[in-house]
This record gives sequence, structure tokens and C-alpha cells, in this order.
Amino acid sequence: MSVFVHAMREAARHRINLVLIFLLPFPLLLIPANGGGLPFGLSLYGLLVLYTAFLLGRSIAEDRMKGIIMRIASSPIGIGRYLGSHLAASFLLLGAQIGLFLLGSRFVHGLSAETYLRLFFLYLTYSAFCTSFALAWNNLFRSFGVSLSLFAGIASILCLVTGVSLPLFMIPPQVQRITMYLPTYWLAFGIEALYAARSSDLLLSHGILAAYAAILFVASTGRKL
Amino acid sequence: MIVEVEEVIKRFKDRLALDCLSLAVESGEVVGLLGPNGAGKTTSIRAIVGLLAVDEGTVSVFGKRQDGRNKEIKRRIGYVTQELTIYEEMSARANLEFFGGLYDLTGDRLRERVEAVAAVLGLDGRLDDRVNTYSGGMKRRLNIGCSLLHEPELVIMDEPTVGIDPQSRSFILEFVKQLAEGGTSVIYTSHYIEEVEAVASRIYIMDQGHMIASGTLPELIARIQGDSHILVDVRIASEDVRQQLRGIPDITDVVLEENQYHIVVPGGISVFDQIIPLLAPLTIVNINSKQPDLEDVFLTLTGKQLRDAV
Repeated sequence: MSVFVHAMREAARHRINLVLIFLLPFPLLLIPANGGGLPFGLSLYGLLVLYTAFLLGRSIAEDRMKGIIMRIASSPIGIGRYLGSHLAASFLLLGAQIGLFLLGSRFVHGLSAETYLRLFFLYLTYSAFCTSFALAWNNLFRSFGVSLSLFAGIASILCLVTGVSLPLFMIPPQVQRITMYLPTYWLAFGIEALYAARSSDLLLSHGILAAYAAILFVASTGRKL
Repeated sequence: MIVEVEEVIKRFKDRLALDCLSLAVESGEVVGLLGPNGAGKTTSIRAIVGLLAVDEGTVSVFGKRQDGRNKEIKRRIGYVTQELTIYEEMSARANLEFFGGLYDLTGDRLRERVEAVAAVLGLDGRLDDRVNTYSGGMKRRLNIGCSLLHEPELVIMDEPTVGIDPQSRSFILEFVKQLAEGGTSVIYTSHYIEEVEAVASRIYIMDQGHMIASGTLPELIARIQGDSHILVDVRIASEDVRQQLRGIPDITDVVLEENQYHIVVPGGISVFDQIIPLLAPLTIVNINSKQPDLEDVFLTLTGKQLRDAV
């Protein structure tokens, strides 16, 4: 059994993952646009991606906490391939979730194909950040339970102040000047840019989210066993 | 030489975990690493496995420098971790298949090896059961089995019998002997003297990051062979009396443990007429004289008994 197959099986073993991927995105499609722009459910979906990525990272966290990572590190495949396989599995599942969500949106909202394509890639970049964030976050804890409970609080606040779970126009500009340093801000910013057809701003969102993903990935893989 | 560790130093911040450690493992031998918790056993074997970079000195495995990146070295080592590093929610078969897959075993070859390892470890009857339904001893055996699928030439076992019943312990010790008879080199760490005595052809004794002695069991015992050991149990022991006993010129060492004095005397010298008057007021319950064993070697070299040091 390859690590990739094992990672997929582990993800499927937890029913909550399947609910998050295949069921929970769809109620978000019923949330309408708020004061212009794209339907707000498309922003709020960012919170769900963050949680999904975190829960998909559970098996890596548990492998480290149980010491299984030691056995893997001592084998020829090493940590790099192990992490790569797990992240590929997470990314594939997140990609499937995004695809299904956007397919649902096509039926409910009926936006243009080009908008969906751009949204798809924006969500993908964002999910790369979420995956790295989950990896880095879990590295800080020895118990997944503690990690999860603190993550739930932090993720909710993060999404609230950066326009993911509250429309960006409702956040005062003074607050936005601070929250723009937080990565989730750039999803909301990117969705706004997409609606307003500001391609350079959309690219900026991609760039900043990708940079956050890379920094967090390097930080989390550099941690000692 | 299978493993050669030369003057290795490893620090964790300000703590010196390994202090000029040297050891060697030859082909087909079982080397026992004996020492209390914190002696540096696990650090030593992680350096040999390649999970830990050393600060100074060299670690060579199969004649090549171990830097943790050489896949060929990794392919030839089986590492049995101290913790149970298996998936308890999966079946034993799925565990063995997954960990075998890490060594590029696939298809029929993997299936053959899974069956063979399960049979030799006595798990074949319950191979498809979930591991969380296993007893502690069965989990330990599976933990060992997951490191043997690729038929390693060197098996490194870090306290493989922690927390199991005597029957399972005997099974594992017998299994280690069988491995060695089959030509596999084994490094076996433990803080149980009787385990190391039972399996190891050569023993390294560690304490606080130092290698304090090495050799075969007879060689180690010969180092203290000249000494006699007198064990005196009293009703209520006193530190003052220990000091007085220590002051007797013919006595090499006195260790007090609970209500027992462990008196070390050079061979051929009788000290009973000197010790009895000192001990009698404490009410002597029992006096015993014994032949030295590995426990005495450890006591003589470190000044403490291993079970207290753990």
C-alpha cells in the first residue's frame, strides 16, 4: 500500500471529512450576495476549506504525535515523500470539494464559465495555503484534540476579521489595514477583484496566498522529529 | 564491521546526551546497550539509524558514513521503536502491508513477506483483526514485525519489551536469538539486565551519555571478579553505619538500599568480625554472600543499582 493510498484511506476513514467534502459546501450556495458582488456563500466557503484542510491534515499530525513518523523517517521513502504523498491526497480531495462546490454554484448562481475557472484556481491556491497552515499549526501541539479546539477558535476569528465569514465592505478600512497582513484576507480580496474584473489584484491574491503556503510549508517541514 | 560509532558527541542545547561515545557491531552479533533511562541509549540508536545528526565524531553503517540520507543504508536497517508505532485502527495485515510498502515491497513478494513475518511472530491466526483488539504483547510483536518485512541485515530494537507480560517477553527474547542465529545483526537496548544477559553476545553499559564499560558478559564480570559481595538485611538501617562500614580499610564500597547494605570486599579477605559489631545494633535479619553478575558490574561501575537509576 503506497503512502498516497494510505493517506486517502485515512481521510475516508473519518466520516466528518466526507461530510465536509461532499455535503457541507452545498448549503452555502443558498447564501445570496450582500450589497453587490458575488454571492456571499462563495466567500464563506473559504472557512469550510480551512476546516477541511485542517481535518485532512489529521493523519500527519497523529503520525507525528504517535511516533510513527520516526519509523517512516528511518525508511527509504523518508519524510519528504511521505509529506508529499499526504499533501497530494489532501490537495486532491480539496480539489474535488472545490470542483463539486463550483458545479453546484453553476446550477444555483449560473455565473460565467470564465468566472468559475478563475474561482477554481483561486480556491486551489487558497487550499494550498490552508493545507500548509494546518501542517504548521499541528506541529505546535502534541495532542490533536488540543490542536483542534484552539484551531477552531483561531480560524473562526481569522475568517471573521478578514472578510471570509463577514463581507469585506462591513469591515472598517482601519481594521482592514491591519487584517490585510493575514492570509485569509487575500481570499476575500481575490473574490472581490474577480467580481470587479481587476486581474492584477486577482494575481496579487494568488501570489500572496502562494507565498504564505510556501513559507508555512518550509517552516513546518523544517521542524525536528 | 556493520556499525562503527567513533567518539560521538551529541548535545541537546546545554545537555550533553552523548559524551565521546564509541561502539561497534560486528556481523551476526547481538549487541546489548544497557543503561538507565536518560543514559543515552535511544539517542545512540537514533544516530545509528540516521534520525539524528551528531555534533562531533562519526557514525558508519555498513562501511558508509551515516548522514540519514543514504537510502541504501536505510534499506538494510530495521528499526523497532520504543513506542508502539503502528496503526491501531487498521488490521495487522494492513499495517504490515503499509510498512512493507515503505521499503518498496509490492505484489506477491509483499504478500509472502506479510504471511512469513506474521507466522514467525505468532500473529498469523489474527492477521485480519484490528490491532486495537490485540493484547499488549501481540501489539509489541506486530511493532517488531513491521520492521522485519524487508529482511534487514541490521535490526535495531529500542526497549522492545516495555510494558508487556513475562510470556510475551520470553517470546520476543527467543525471537531475537533466532534472528541472530539466522545471521542478522541486532542492537538491543534495555534497562532490564536479565534481558541483555539473555540475548546479547556483547554488552555496552551506558550511564549519563558515557560508555562506561563493554565486553562479553564473562569479560565484564571478570572486571569485578576479585570482589566478594556481602548483602546484609537489617531491621532499621542507618546512614551513619554505612559511613562507618565505608571507613573499614578492607571494604571497597558500601551501598545502602532501603534496609539492605551491599558491601563490596576484595576477594579472600574476611570482614565479618569487623562488620558484625557495627551492624548488630541494627538487628541483622539476613546475611548473604553472592557471586557477581551484571547487576554487580553496573553497581560497581556507577555506584548505583540499575533499577534505582531507571
